[in-house]
Amino acid sequence: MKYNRRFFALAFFLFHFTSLVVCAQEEDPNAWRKRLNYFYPETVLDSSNVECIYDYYVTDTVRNERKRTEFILLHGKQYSKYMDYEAYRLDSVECTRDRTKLTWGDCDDIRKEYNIITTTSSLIYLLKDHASGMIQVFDKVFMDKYTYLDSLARFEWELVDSTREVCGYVCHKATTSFRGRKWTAWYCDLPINDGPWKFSGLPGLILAIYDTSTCQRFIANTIRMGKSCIKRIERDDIKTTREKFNKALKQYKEDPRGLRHAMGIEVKVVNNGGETGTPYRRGFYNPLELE
Amino acid sequence: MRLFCRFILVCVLLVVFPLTVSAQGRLAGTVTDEAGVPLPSVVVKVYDETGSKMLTYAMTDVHGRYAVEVKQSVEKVMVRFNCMGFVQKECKVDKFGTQEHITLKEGQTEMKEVSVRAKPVVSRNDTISYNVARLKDKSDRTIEDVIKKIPGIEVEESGTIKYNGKPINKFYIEGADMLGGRYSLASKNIDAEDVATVSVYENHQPKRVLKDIAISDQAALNLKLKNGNMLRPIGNASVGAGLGDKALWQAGLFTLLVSPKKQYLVTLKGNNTAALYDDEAADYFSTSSSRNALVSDLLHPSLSGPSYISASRSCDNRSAITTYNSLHTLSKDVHLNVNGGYHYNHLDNRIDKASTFTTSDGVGVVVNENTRNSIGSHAGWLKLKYESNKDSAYVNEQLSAEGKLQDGECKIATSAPVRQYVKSANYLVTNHLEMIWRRNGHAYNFKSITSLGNSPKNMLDALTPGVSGGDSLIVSQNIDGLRFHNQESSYYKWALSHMVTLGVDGLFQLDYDKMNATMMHAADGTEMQYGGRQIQAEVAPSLGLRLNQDMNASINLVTQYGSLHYRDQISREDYRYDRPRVGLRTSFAYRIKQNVRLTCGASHLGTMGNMFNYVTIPLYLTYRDRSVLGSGRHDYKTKTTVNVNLNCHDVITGRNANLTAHYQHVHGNVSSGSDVSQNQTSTFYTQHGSNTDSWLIVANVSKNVYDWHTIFSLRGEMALNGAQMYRQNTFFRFHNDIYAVEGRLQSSILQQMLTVNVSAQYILSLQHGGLLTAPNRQNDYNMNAEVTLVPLSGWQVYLRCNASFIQKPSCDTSASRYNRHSYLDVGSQYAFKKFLLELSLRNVTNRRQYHVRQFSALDTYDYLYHLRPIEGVLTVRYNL
Repeated sequence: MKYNRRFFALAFFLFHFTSLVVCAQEEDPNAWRKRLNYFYPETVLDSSNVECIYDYYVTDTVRNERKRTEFILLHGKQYSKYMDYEAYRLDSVECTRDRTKLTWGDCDDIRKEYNIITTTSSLIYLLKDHASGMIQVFDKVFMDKYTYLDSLARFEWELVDSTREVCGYVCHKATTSFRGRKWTAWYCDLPINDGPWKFSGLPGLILAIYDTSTCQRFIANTIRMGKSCIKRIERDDIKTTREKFNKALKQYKEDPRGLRHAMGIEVKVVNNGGETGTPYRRGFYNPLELE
Repeated sequence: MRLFCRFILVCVLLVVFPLTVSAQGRLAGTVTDEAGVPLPSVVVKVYDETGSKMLTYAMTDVHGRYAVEVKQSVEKVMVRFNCMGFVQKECKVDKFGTQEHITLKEGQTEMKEVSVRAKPVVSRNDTISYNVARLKDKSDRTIEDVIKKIPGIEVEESGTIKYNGKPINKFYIEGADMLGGRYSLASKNIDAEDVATVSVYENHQPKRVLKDIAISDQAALNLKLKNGNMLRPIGNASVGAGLGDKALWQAGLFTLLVSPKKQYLVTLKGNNTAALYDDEAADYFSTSSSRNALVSDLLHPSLSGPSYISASRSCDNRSAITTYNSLHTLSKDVHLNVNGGYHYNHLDNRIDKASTFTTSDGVGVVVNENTRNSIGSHAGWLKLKYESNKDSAYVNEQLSAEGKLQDGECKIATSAPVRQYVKSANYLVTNHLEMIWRRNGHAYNFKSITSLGNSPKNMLDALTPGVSGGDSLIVSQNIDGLRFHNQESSYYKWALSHMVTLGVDGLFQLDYDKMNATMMHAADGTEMQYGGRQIQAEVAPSLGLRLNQDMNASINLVTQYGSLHYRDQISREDYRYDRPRVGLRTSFAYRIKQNVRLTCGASHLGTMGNMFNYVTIPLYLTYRDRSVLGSGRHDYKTKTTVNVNLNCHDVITGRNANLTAHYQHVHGNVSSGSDVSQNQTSTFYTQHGSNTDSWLIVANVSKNVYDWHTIFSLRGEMALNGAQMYRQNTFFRFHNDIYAVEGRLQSSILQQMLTVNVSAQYILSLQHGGLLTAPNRQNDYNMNAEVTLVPLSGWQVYLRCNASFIQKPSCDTSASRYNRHSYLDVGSQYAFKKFLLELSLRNVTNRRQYHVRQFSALDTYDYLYHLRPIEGVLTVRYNL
């Protein structure tokens, strides 16, 4: 078959014209949106009868920064779940749809519609089993997800004769020491042996609690009747212990670059004038447990 | 007797009474519902008799049991039983030590719903604006400190800003993006006081025409300045002086100026302290090798080619660079970017090169060349970018022009001294056009890249002293070339279902090349002229499969059509090549466990040659390297590659392991070869098939010992290369293999006051096969250490040292088998207020030479680099 000049000239112009049309074909920008989202199986453990939303303020005194996150406590008859409030909102809306058909585009629309912001906190959620006296914690270090068991601690609360109002409720004061920090709590008269994070053991729901350094602070901003399922996600998180997990998280936060180097991820910095270097910078870190 | 009985009675009462009191202090019992089911978590509160003061409390366990000790001595108490969903029960207790059974009735617990949550500042659709004055604390200095407080924002140590876990795609100042990916220059330097609001544009699509069509999951930030505010200039100025074997100097200026309609970034730097600015200048030049004229890379100004050690160690330099970046907002949707710059370098170095060429007679040829190089280069660039970003249409037109001039003089002390001059000039003009327009909810786009590369001068002159005085010409040669390049590409993807995606990629590329060469060698003269065109068209349908959450795969069928037509203008000979071909590309990714990942890929593709394949008249690449660029027939290759990567890591135990294996087989229809003599090396191609195989296997393990703040890592690498070539009319196969092992320790101790980074490396290079009677082995040992000490805030001291043991050639009969090198740099930085002082001492051991040995095919090259001496420089930097 001979390919002469006329043929190539024709091919040249034909392709340019075709490319104008082909290039001018619409992209399918919605390709990623049609991808089905994957949801891990869940086990429904309980349903909440009371829900409390807390503002959690934590200050990193080394970096001199403060962060605020919202968490929600779902308190049921036997189980309590403490989780990030934005994740709870997203999950609540997703549950109203048929999850087997939810796509990435649907989830993105939900985030936009409800203005859901992803938290920067590492804690995924924790489950308290009041019957067995155990807490199961689900947390992560960098990209890896871990789980460990902890016991519902027997807090040695000292009741103090003092009252104040928190979130519309009259609250009473109590103090304790827990894993390296001294805490002051305000609990109300609602007969719920529960509180934010791992706290419990007072004769009423803890609506505010802070440590004496004021670097850690939980304060309730909403109390309402419960209406949610308390679920455990069945996923192959890596099992570990509380001590090992805390040590790994501390190490990662103190030197995020070290873990990334170990995983083969390089970070470069362009300074003023185009020079490059890899300066050290500690991650935001001030843990609730010091021991 | 009576007295004794009274005494006994008192004793009994003293013993019994406390028991009676303690028995009265304990309350215990069970709580159940009306059906008798035990109730756990019932709150049991014990009050005084009046019910006003709580004395103690307890909770029932899973069996509904409670027990509480009342420590005060009271006769009566009030006990309240509370549980959500049940009616509170009160009872008075005056009898302690007994088991009480309490039944609670079901009922509604009164509870009021309360919410005191605050709302975001302002939220309109995807835009959330934050008032900086309300977010700012006293300790916040730069706008980055304020940005960190915005919900959803995370700022990494590199300055990268993430929103909802994803990097932002734009950083605007007053709606304009001048800095592109270098926005940390602004965020780390703009004062928070100068900014009114920071807006977050969620799901930001930078091209407005694609809004709601191409959804982005990334956000953008926009800083709005306080009314009428021009930002104070940001930047720094530095000046330094020092001493080595001559006076040393360095100076620099960096400024950033931002106003509502215009933004400027200007840098100006110069030094003779071996900072060459090559990396910085490279950012502004075209990286695409397909756009420059083919002849632009033929000649290298230095006889030794690219350096095997850092040029900053071995070159005396005079370097300068200046860059100008500006952005002008012409109207609300239209911006004009102007980028320009100039880079000057003058390098002098001394390199002694000994080349050992293996020949078929087993004797070999050794060529010693002691060179003194003096290389000057000038590079300039200018880029104009016009961007119109409207809702109905997007236009991005970029026109850039760049030019590089190089001038190298090389004095070679060899068997007969030679002076070699290389001069080159390369210019490139590129036009990049992208247009997107929107109609009826569909977006149409058109992209085109057109460039013209001109290399009018690539001159090589080599002279040697003549017998009767004066200079005798070895070679005088000039090559000029031209390339016109045009490329258009597009793609389309179609999601059939949530598991299957179909796609097709299309590419059309046209290149027109031309080259002329004139050569005078001794008494002979040669001239050549070649020109022609090359067309490549490619269509690659693809299939993507998402098998489940952890597994996905893709396959591309690459169909290509290539057509070449080149002509030798002098001999009038035509060269044509037209051929379709089919290739394949696949990939597979599998997450075996949460922290174990496997990725694989394979491909089988063909590559086209170019005009050089038909250039059979030899050209000089150096004064002694005479090369024929082609075999006279099209050089077609097929490449088959396979790669596998396995990674597993465990953050808790601090262990990480990575294994990568890569194999490539290249089959070609042309083989290279060379003939070597004392005076000349001739390289040529023959129409003989060839096969090249290469393996690369890298294994990496590391262990992080958290308690010691230390990471231990071990890396092993194996690179095996086998190929075929001609030498002295003999066709043979050779192998170049490299085996390397490296151990490393990184530690931060004393709360990051002291950081240590130490590594040791062993490299074994093997050269065998073909004409070698015995394999050549090279053993090299390297050790590096880097120590940084921060004794006080703002003060840092550092030390860097390197020790190398390079095996000497076997012909070297000196006592020591190794050349030993050590290199030491020390320095200190101190920052106070707006000043930064730095004192650096380089090459403290005053090492003046460094050996490097390289195997290439069957030849060995020994380099001796002459190094800069010990130097000290004091620099002062002032931040505006």
